[in-house]
Amino acid sequence: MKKVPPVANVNASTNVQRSASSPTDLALKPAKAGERVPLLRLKFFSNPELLGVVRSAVSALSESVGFSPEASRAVIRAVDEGLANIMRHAYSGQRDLPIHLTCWSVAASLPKGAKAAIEIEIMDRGSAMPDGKLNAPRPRELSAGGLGLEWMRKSMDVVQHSRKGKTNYLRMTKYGM
Amino acid sequence: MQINPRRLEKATIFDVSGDIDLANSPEIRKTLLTEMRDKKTPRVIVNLTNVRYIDSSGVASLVEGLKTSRDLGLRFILYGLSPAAREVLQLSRLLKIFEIHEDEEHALA
Repeated sequence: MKKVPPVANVNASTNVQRSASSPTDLALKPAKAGERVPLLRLKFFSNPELLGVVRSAVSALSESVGFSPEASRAVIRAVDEGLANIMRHAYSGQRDLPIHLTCWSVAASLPKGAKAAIEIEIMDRGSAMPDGKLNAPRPRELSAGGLGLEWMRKSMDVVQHSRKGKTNYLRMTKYGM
Repeated sequence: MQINPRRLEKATIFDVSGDIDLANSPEIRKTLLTEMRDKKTPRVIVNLTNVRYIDSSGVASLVEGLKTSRDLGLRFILYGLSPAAREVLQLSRLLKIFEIHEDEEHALA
């Protein structure tokens, strides 16, 4: 087994208090439309061995806001693929560079039938994603390239990428039914 | 993640367990391709019953296995797909490209 360096900093927002009586804790959801509740902020290094740690945290969080197992799997998949892209491409496989992940629960403009929404922002300081890459179609059926980006687009309701200065921002939103 | 071979007369079954992601998919790829290229095993079977999660690099490794099996005239079979594994093959339009069986008995039939 390879030795895994410690996670740099894992801290959850203070208003993520769970009620002992309720498995899907309403305290994690905004009280009124327009509110955006910060839930989780993780800072970690670009080491693929840490992907499982982040998946576990995001899995627990999406279940806590009331997402179905299927919707939770979609969120985990999109986060994992976004992080893997950063590790492989933006950071070219270097394992000691910083990644920040923040999750919010949002209530604004929920589509009809949606019970909750999670907004996720992932920040890195690596190289820029080529223009048009995020929405580029996968070349062929048996082509392995581009799979991760396709999964992100299909798993989430909103996927946006931007770059300000030397920082990349990946923002994704999922409405949980 | 662990991958362990069970060698039968004309087939090798690889029992995989744990999560398949960027940290370990190169090992899966290497194991499968070595089995095909070096041993020319007629039927290479991957048991995914105990795989909870598979990412795009893991699926890419399985696609490489499939392509190599076709090049060498071998059979490449998957069985025991979890809902998560089935979902990602569906998302990638690969569910009908692979030979997939419910269980070991059907994979060996």
